[in-house]
Amino acid sequence: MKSLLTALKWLINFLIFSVLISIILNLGDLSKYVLTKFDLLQYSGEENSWILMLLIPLLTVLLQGYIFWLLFKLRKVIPGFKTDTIFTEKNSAIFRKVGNGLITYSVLIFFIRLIEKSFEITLEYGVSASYTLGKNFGTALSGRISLLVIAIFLLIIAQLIKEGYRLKQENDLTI
Amino acid sequence: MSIVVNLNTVLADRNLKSKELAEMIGITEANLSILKSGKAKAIRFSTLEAICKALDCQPADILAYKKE
Repeated sequence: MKSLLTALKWLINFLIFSVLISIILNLGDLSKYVLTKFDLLQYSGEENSWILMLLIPLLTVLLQGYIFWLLFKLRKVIPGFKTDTIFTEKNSAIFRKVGNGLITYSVLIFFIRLIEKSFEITLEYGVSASYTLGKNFGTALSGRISLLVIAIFLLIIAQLIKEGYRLKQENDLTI
Repeated sequence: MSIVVNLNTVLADRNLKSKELAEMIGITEANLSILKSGKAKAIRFSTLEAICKALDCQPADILAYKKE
């Protein structure tokens, strides 16, 4: 159990680190766009819409910041597992918050990716627009399914912890 | 809760202190206090039996149902 918890702790640390790197990269892209707009930086690349260059990276950074915060919250649960204080109201609330947060994140990021993809549509010969739209929809959705499954599992765990807390209370108050 | 614990009355009738009863039935004073204050969610038959034995009374002397 102890080694599993250590592995989980390191995995969450790794996730926090990777989200942080991703935030820094996106902030870099954002600052590049802003500096180019104010003529402080020369950019020779293709000029895209402000939605693609500013709004989508900004929303992505905000959502990644939200995930970063949720991961920090989840990290707080691990010491409780080590000291056998799993069934607490606080832990249940954390799991519920993280589960709901992941659902919100996956739904929002799905729409963001869909909008992003719709800007990248290149019409190919013999391929209908509806096919391209469906393909983009599928691509945007496929990455989010696993997140949704994890989120639902977290919500189930939150409910189990809540039920465990109730039973523990009942057991403690049985004389 | 509509179940009332009349342990204080029975203890006063017997001139016993909570500490003494707790020692007699083998539970902690803290648990006896939970039982007396009505915060307890349940009571084991073994505890009830020990209390009845120690106080020489019936379960109905300790527990009563009161409509809310």
